[in-house]
Amino acid sequence: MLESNYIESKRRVVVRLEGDLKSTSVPEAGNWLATEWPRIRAQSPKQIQLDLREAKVVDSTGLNWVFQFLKNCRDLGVKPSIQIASPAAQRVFQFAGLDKLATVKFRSRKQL
Amino acid sequence: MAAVNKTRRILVVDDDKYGLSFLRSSLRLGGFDVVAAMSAAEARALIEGEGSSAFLAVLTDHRMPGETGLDLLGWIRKKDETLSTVMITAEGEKELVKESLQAGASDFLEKPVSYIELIEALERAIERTLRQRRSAEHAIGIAAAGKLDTFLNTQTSAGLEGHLRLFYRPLHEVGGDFVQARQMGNGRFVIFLGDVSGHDLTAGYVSSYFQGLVRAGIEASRPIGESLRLFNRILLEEWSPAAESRGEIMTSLAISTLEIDLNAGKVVTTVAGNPPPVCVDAQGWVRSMAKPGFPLGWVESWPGDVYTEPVSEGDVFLLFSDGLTDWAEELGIDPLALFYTLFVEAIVSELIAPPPDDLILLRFQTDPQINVSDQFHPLIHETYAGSEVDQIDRLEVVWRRTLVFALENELEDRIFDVLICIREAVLNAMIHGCERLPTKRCSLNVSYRPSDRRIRVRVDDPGKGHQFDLASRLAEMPLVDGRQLGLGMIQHLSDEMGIENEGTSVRFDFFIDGVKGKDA
Repeated sequence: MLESNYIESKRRVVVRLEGDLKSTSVPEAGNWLATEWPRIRAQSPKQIQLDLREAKVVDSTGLNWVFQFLKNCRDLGVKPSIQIASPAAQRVFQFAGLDKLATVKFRSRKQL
Repeated sequence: MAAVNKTRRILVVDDDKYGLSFLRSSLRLGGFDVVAAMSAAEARALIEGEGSSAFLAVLTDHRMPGETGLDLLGWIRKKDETLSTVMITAEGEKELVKESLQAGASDFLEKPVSYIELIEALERAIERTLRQRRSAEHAIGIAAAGKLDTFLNTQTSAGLEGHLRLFYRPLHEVGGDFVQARQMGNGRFVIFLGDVSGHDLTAGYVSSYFQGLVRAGIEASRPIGESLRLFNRILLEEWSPAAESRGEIMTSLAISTLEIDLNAGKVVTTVAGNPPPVCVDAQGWVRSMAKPGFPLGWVESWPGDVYTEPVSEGDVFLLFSDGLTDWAEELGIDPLALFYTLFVEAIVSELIAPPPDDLILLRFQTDPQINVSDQFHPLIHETYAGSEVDQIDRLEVVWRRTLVFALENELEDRIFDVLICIREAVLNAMIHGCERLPTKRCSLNVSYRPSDRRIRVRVDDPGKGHQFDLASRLAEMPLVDGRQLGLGMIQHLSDEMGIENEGTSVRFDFFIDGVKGKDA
């Protein structure tokens, strides 16, 4: 459900999520973050990109996970970028004020 | 020589007079009543004159001057599909044989024809004609019974105009689902909707018997409950033992009744085996009007519970048999959304599977002046136990399917706003209001008003609510704990939101056209 790739030439870590980010998927995402983050930290990335383009539904639990992710990035001294493709997710992120904590890039595509 | 049987009348057609004479003699020997014609035209005149039903089969040669046997065959098929024909062809005319069969010939014989072959072919043709004619008579009888069935099973009295709308679609021509609605006086109405077990003629007979019994009781001012108890006794003490002795399954009757008194402002509901009726009020809130009970014919201790409750201005009552709930389950959607689509949208999509059972739906609005599109129509009305938190993804699938089914693609991507908000509200209710307990339940109501394309959602839970100032907490959004984050998301994504009963009731509206209203 989550995977990360490190692009060495740009010292960029790309974390990609498959599917939605909601209460039932967040426990697994939380475990992943706990086990994978030490490895990401060890890579000392200059850029971190969170690819959420597959997520149509992001609920409050999912939003909390994103906050934790952003907090981790802040601790590394990196301002991450977040890619989304769902207008609904965009509205949720606007509500949460995530544009103050990350660069949010919206790439529209068909929802249904 | 067999005696000529006047009931085995056949027509033989051949332009060769010696051949025709031979056939006539031979077939009379075989006991057939033979009428002869020397051309297709003569055969047509005989059939027109005496009527096609006078003959049980036609034996015709193919090669005739002018119109051939194949031409005659085509004419007979149009005139009377039930009349079987046998074509005699010359040796080697295989293509003709194929054409004959495609054109509807029952059989063919290739010259030279033996006597036995001839007799056997005609015997088969006659049998086929008789069978086809019996089926046609049966179909006519069933069609007539079907018209009577619809008339008897959807009885409504005068005075209900504007109040009542009915949707009746039996699985077969005759069935056991029925509805009766009568005005008993100014502002007083009686409605009952029933479903007899089975779909055949038996169910139709039982339905008619019961309706007559109840109608007589109503005319004699007998309470409906008395008629129901009487019929329960009849089923258990008389009909079931008789059915058992014949090795048949006993009959049962599921029924729901409403006795509405608008002057007194009350409605009395009785349910036995049917899905309970629902009431939707002017604000779009839905409530079940009774708990389910056993059908009549199951238990001696019937009647079930009787529920009396107030009627408010603008209330609408929906009654339906389990044909609706079964079909909705097959489609994976809420039954009320299917009710709305069938009733208000009058759409039965060709793309969805046909209903598995009889369908009978009734909608009664207390105020006949209100336009249907100005009223809220329930789409979802469900309750969930607190322990069903783990099922939230499955529930979300049902919500999504239901909303897409009822509103097609009008919502476009806003459907995800609606789904996120419903999910947040229901999770909040299950986790905090119901404390994840199986013994505590929350409820979800979703309704739609076509006139302003408004979707209204309400979630209620049995919790204690909260004591803090929610408005202040929401103003501090979003970096607070999960509970208020969810409510904050609802406030942001919906067009109107209100919280009542110290947070145990959350209401939010969406305008499909995206017009944002004031916060409640």
